[in-house]
Amino acid sequence: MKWYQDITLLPDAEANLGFLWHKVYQQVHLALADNKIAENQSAVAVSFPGYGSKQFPLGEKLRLFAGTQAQLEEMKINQWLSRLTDYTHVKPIKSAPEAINQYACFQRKQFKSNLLKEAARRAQYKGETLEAALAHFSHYEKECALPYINMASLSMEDNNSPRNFKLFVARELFDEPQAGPFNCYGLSKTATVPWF
Amino acid sequence: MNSRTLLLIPKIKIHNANALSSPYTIGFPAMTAWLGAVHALQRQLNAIDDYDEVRLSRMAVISHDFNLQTYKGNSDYVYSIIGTGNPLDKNGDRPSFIEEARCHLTVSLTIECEELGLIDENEFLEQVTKTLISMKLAGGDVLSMQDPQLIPVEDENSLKILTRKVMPGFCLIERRDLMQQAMQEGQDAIDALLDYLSVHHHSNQDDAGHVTWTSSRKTKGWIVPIATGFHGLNAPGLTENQRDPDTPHRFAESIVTLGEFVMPYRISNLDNMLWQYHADLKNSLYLCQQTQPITQ
Amino acid sequence: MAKNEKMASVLAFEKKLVPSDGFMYGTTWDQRYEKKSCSPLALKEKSVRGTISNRLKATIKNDPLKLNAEVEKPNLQRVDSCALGTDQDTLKLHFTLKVLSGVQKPSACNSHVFNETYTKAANGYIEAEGFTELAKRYATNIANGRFLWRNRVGAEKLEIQVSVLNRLDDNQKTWVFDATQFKLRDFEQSTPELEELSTVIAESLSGKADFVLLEVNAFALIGKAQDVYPSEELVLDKSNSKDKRSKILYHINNIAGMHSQKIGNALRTIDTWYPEYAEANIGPIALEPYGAVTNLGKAFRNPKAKSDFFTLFDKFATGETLGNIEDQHYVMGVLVRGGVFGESGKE
Repeated sequence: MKWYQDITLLPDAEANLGFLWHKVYQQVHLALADNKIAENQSAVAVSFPGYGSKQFPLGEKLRLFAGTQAQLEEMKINQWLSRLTDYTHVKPIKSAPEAINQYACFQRKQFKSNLLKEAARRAQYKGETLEAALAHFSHYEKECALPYINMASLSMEDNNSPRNFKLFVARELFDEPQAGPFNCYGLSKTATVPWF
Repeated sequence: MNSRTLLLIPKIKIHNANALSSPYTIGFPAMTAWLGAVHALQRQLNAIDDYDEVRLSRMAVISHDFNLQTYKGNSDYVYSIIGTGNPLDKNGDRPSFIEEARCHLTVSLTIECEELGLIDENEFLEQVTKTLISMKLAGGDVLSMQDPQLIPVEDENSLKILTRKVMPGFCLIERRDLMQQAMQEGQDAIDALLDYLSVHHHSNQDDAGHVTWTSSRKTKGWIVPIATGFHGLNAPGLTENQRDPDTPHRFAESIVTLGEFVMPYRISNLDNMLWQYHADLKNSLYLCQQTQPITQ
Repeated sequence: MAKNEKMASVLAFEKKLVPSDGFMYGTTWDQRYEKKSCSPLALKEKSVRGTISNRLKATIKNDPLKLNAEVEKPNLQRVDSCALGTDQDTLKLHFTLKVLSGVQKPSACNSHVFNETYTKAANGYIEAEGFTELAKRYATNIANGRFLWRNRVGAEKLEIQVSVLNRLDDNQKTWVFDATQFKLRDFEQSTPELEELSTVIAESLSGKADFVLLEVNAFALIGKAQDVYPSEELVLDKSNSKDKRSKILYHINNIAGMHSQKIGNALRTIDTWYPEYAEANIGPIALEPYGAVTNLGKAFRNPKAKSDFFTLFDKFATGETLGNIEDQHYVMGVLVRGGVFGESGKE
């Protein structure tokens, strides 16, 4: 992951960052899927350099990472974002700095949104009290606070409207790079990208 | 009947007009708004040499479409006013909301013109369009209107020509007589007003024990509360920050009475649809009233 | 009487750019000019599962009955939504825009002295500038389709058609703009068509020509069955009933709509002259007395920095010259917007 390209989101009075992330990430996902190297596997990974920012939890920048310059060039992200030129600024491809101290793993988190129902089910199944079941799920509360991007699944549901879901993104920092595959959202369960 | 000249301005589309017709009624804009607009139109025409004598003395308003900006959820009991977001103040905070009821509506105005003199009709009508399109009516924006026309009315037949042109629609007339009658029977003003507006539900049990419910109002017709003028509360004088420094200022309260929306084809006398100003200074009353009430 | 003879305690201006509501239709890009392939978009009520706060109140947690009741609650929220049909890929937004003259005449003013000095200053501006700069910016905001707001973001193609409704024969004109050719962030680009539209607006604002009524049709190719974004209604006293809607969208006789205020706001998003313009990096903001941007909860023209409308207007209207032409554009732009600007109404 030596090469990177930054995309800055340019919100205005109406199109705020949350809305722009939704529109931009949808296109980035399409670009990654179009350039996949294997089933749901991408050579290009993403990073959120502004992750955890106070203004907006995902920051205002999306960084694409790849092993080679050619991989980024081939993706032609500019074309994928051409309909968003008023709302994004795509910087040239650059090589990552030499001295990297930290590596970040950006991982998708999925969990149930109605914990009470989940807890009730668990309580019945395990025969424990609802209190105990809720306690079991208590750590999920934190994940609810994770930053997310609103996504629309491209497969239509039976009522002919796209299914909307939240793509929760968790970050874990490592001192050494970790290897592994990236999916077509540019995220990985194990692999890291340079953090700078 | 003498020949009278009526200026018809058909289907004026008005956007975001003030629907708060009096401090305690919302709905169709107050009569003072319509007569005021016509008076403003006259003053602007009078400023032009060719039309400096024109008097727009009486007018009728016909409603074609009325869309009150309120909202009622599925199981809500009452309607809520739909507000507008106001710009932030200098600290970037939201200012407090001011409840202002708004409506979108389409109306036709028929205006009696006097002292028209020798004019080029087309030029006059063009001037009316130009003037009116740049005005506000009942606090709302004029979005569009059809071409105005001058219609002579001298008998029932020519009146029919006029009223047909404003169909389908509803002409607002005054029903002060209903209030007077009820108050003579001993009701106070607000009871009399509410009595005509409330829907009464009655049940009837037949011999077999079946209960049928019927709902009705006190009288037939589309009866509505309307604001028709002002009652002065103090002597005219000077006040700080008054709107016009050259005209005495007076505090006033709204006058609300009953009105009725009737189909124009039912009007058989032009004066039954026309309204005009009437000042009763002895009683400090500034009224919009009908040239001839329909009950007479 | 006004405390200061030179100022007016009652002062109001009517807006000179008067947009109608925007009506939303669905169509296909290929057949966008054919009226019969356009169908009005209606609102749909959707139930969505709300993300419920899992932090339960102690009273509920400790009462098994209440807790069970809570668990059974589906926590559904009702929201309005609006989308293109499955066979439609293009949003059409239609509105009219009336452009009036007469900014040199307040609609209400209670000081003769003020009225005189103000009218002189305004006439001076009209003579010198003829509203060309403001008109060009308003025209750009029509051509770039800014008034589509969120519906513009991510559209594959954008086309704006503008025609004059109230002029006869020779002056009847239709312009077609490719909105993607006009940027949202500046007002530098120009085309012969844009110049023509600007001229029509400038002449109507300055009174050189009669009022003009423009019809605007905007087409955005956004893809089949995609969501569109009508205006949201601001309902006061929302009830607490269980099936209340948490998002209420605007419709006019069952056609999804964009508030006229919202279209007006887009058209006057031309203020690049505020002090923080370069650093803020949000582009032009709407002309407002305090430079307020609602979504950011911020006023960019603060009285402390002496860049607000009232500070500049007081100088302008009493005959003082403003430091630069941009301040004059700003002041005249706010007057075109209209509002109540009396001395006493300020505090």
